[in-house]
Amino acid sequence: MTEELQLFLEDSAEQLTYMENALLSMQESGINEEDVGALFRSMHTIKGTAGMFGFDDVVGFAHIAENLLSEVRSQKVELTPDMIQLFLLCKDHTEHLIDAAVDQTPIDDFTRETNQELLEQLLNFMPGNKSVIKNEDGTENIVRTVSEKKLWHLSIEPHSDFFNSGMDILNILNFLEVMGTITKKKSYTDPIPKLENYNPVEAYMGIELQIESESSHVEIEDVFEFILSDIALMIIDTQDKEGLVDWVESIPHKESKVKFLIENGFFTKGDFITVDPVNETISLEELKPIEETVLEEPQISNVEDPKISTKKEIQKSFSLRVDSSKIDQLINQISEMVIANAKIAQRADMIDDNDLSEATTVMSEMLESVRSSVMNIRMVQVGDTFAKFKRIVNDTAKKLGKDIEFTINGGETELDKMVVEKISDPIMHMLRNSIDHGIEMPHERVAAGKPANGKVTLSAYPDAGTIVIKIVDDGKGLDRDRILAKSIANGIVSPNHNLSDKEIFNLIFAAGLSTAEQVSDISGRGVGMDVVKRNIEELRGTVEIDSSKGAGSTFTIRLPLTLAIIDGFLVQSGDTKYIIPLEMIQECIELSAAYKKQMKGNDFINLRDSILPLLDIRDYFKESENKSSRENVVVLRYGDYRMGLQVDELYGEFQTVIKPLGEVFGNVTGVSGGTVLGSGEIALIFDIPKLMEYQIRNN
Amino acid sequence: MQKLEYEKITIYEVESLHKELLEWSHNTQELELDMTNIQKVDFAGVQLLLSAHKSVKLNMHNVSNNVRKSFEFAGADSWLNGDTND
Repeated sequence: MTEELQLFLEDSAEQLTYMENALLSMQESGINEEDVGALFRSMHTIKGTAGMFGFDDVVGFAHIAENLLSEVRSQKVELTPDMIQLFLLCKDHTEHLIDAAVDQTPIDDFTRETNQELLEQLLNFMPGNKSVIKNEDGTENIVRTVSEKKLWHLSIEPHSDFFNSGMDILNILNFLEVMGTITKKKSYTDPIPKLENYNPVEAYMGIELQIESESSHVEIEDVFEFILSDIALMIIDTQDKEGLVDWVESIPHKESKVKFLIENGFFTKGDFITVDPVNETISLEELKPIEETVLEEPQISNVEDPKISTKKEIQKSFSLRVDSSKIDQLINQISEMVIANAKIAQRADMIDDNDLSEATTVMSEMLESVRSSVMNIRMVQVGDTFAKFKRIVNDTAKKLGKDIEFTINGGETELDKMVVEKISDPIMHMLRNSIDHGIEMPHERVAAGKPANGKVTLSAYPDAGTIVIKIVDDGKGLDRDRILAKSIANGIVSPNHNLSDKEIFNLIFAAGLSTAEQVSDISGRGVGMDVVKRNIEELRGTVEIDSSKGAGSTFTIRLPLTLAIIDGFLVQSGDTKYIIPLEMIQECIELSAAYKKQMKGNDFINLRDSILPLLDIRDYFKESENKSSRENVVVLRYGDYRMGLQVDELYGEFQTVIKPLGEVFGNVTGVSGGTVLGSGEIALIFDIPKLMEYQIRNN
Repeated sequence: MQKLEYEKITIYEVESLHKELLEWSHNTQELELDMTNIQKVDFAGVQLLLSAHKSVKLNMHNVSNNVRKSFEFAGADSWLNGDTND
């Protein structure tokens, strides 16, 4: 895909998001001018940019939708809840049209039908009478019979390879006379070269005409149906000055065209004066200099408080779009600098030169500062992504006939952009699950003494170096016995297990398990939860579920704050150096002889009157014997779990870049990456959640 | 005056007619074309004739009604010069 198409796709996606947000916002809090304006502008922008690429299906549909929005905006038509639902459907349909256009796949029958249906419904809301005309071949045309005629301006510019189409424009222009009265027509001959430079099989000439007609835009366009892809066609209501300016802005030879139009009496000079420059020209200007690369975030200055960004500010505030690979490269480069600096620092310590040591400290601090700033670029508020879940919950609940109150907390919590994007699907899946299998039907809830409307809450908050995302529902909870039975039947669990309730609940993440009575098309196909868990683990995160029969379920996802650099604690066991994520460390204690005696060969110690299970790294990784005389325990906390990691030497805090281990190490459980120390040695980074899992399972 | 022997000027004839027009317009300011035989002209034909008109002053004679209509459809009828013999 070309860069321009990519940009178009992104821009359209953005516009569609604004549309949806405006619609949902009005659904909740009522009609208001600002949201209606945003709706209109989004549709208008999509129509304009699609027009630039010649995506005529998109243009055709968007134009009708935009017409209705224009009537709403000028308060000739009232925006009813039904219309809001209709526009939500239109937004989805526009998305499909855009995807098909960008992929260059023809519109399939279903989309064509939807197109007609939606157009019909849109036209139904328009002021004026409508009727349906049946054609000879059985197809139908929707005709808006309005008492007043419109003067349309048509600009027809064949593509240079037009003659390959085998069609003759003149026939079509002939037919056009049936649609109304042609008041003016002139061939646009400027592009035609003289004989010596003329290529007889290339099309140069355009045609500009104006026709007075009762027909709709769609009907006029239909006339050109068979050559639409071979020409650049623009049909504008001569009253639509904004549309005129937009069109003219978009053509490459605009000066000569404008001159032509004025000289031949199609328009006057006054018609081309830009209306509302802030809204119209900005969206097109942004697309023009495609070579410029820009930041993805809505604002980069730390003067503005990111929490207060309103929709208006997002559209007007200075923002840049940047290719995310450039940021990745920046992070990489800074990471390498951190490693290189570690080497310098180490050498400085050895030489024992105070000035040098001080200089390296300053350097380290500055590197840390730059690293922080760069990581910050990638941080986005989760609320932006979470907002789209509202729509999904809305639609899913409606579809199932359930009454659901959906709340989002902690939207301002920040997370790395890539993590947010990748966590989106798993969250959606879990939300659908809560709605589908968790929340009961309203009458069931009332019968159980609960309020008819179910509550689903999505929250995000930071906790000890991780970000926690919780999905809570007050539905009927998981059926422990059913899950157990199914697991035993599938051989996932042996009949004489001794799993706790919580462990049984978490079996839903095992592959091939689905206890839904009917596999609904929404969730519960048995390939869902295990994929969800895997996706989260790929982000070095964890997911668990807890449930209470009749009361509800809670999904808890934990994600690391960053993916690239780790604040760690360096330890040694046997010959190998390891790094423990600093956030998970509660304390370090020396494993004195007293403790050892207490253990009596078991693998736990009594720490201040509570039991701390221990994991001996030397055992786990089969290390060689202790090179130092000391033994230590690093006390870790991850979520609700605590564990002591038994190691030899402790070295201290150490910040470093995570380097992925090669595929050879892919199956080593307990290690999630490696890093290069200043000395050139490799240190392995513990995967603490996995180690904890192992510890729990084997004790 | 060059009498065109073609029955029509469409995408199929324009390549050869283009060569002829180039030849005839060499070293001349004005070109007379006798269009008696031409029954029909399509978009490619209209465009070619307009290109010729940009290079030299083109006068078309004995233009049939059909051809005249074609020029009209294309919005190019103001370029039609010369007599029309109906």
